[in-house]
Amino acid sequence: MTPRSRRSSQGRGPVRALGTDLWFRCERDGSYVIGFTDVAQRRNGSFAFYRGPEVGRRYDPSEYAMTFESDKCVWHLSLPVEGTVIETNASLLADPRAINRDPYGAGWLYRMRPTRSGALERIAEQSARRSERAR
Amino acid sequence: MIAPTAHPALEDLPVWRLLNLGSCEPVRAQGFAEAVAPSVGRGDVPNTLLVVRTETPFVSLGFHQSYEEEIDPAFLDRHHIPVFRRVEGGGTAYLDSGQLLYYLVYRTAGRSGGGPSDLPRFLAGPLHAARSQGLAAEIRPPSDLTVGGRKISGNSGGDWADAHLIAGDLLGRTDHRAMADLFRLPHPALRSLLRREVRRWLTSWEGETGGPPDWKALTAALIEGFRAAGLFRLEPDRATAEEEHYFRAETVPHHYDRSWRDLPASSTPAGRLRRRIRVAGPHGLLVLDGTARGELSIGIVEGSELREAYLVGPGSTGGLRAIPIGGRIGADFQKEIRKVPGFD
Repeated sequence: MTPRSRRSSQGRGPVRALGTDLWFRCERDGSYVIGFTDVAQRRNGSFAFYRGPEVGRRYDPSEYAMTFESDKCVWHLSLPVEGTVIETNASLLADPRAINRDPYGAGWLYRMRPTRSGALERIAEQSARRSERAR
Repeated sequence: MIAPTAHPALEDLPVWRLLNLGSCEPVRAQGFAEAVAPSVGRGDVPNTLLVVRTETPFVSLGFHQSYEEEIDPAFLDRHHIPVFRRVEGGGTAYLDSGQLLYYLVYRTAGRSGGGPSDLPRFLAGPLHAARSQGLAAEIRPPSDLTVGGRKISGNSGGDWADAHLIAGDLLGRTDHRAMADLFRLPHPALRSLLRREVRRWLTSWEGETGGPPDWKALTAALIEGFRAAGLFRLEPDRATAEEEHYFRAETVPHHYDRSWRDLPASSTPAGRLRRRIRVAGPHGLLVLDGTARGELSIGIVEGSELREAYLVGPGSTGGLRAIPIGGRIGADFQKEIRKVPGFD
């Protein structure tokens, strides 16, 4: 299962890889949904907890925005680019294993609006170029 | 690969600092690693292995555990022991002087530990220690050591102040009853069941060797285990004045801060799964909201297998009614258990 091969059934933008660990998808309103790739969910083991970013808050990528617990380890993650969080996946509170079961669907993490337009796409392209060069 | 088979030469290994705190008060036994983390994170001191025992018992809550849901207040009334929330994950644990605690504190250069990928690598230390003493220890992923299928060491990880911490315990001697009695249960009839299961799933150095642990030898075996596993070279040292100051000024108040201890569970299940009591690794009691009649359904799992199931009636003070079951269960216990008559 690769993010590039998937397309939303609801007519939104395609799912694109953001490095090896994250995917994003542009919504009709210009916001972006972010989630873990299949590679990342496998590497991190069984998810037991997810405390998402604060909705309505602007985060800088240098600060941690969310907390996970998987395979008995607590760890933190930042937003990939500066932006404001619009929504966090509340259903993961009761069912964090959805990240493992359905990383590109029910296991999405949060929805954000980047401060700078096109910021996620630029990072995705840089990351893809780095991967190409590494081959 | 979990246990390295070809070890680099000792002089090529990175140097870690060894802090052997000996036996000390509970807040120091749990909290001192957090006081070490800032200086490790800044690079003021090398990555550190800290080894310690607690003089008196305490209860350690996992980072995401709920104090209210986990701990039986009657147990605390009887035993008068402190409850501390740790920064590492995992479940609630009763820790006493029968256990050897160890903490690996290492720099993450401003990045989170990045998930649990480091933990299996470090299990090679206690694994080597146990095997060197003749115990047929195995790693049970993701984070336990077992002997004969029973847990003898639990480990978990977390981030604090630009450092990653892995906390573990090696069970020298186990107070099975205290382990079982600290948990809050939704029905008193479950207590005897839990006591039985704790005995079934936990073992100890004493239980395996037949004699009380020699703490000095056990500590030495653990330290040697990390070295022999080829992870790092240890240089004994003492905590710095700054670490001692941080411990007194920050760590101790933080540990006794009730707002930290009483943090609500971040993901209290809103569904029908009411309670999961993990005894050892994947083993534990699963207590579910019962039928519309208000009954509770209880499952005992061993690995991925649902071994036994019980039903207890609403308001019942009597025992449990066993329900015959069979077959394996998958990831979705709730779905599977409801296929069992009496659980639908």
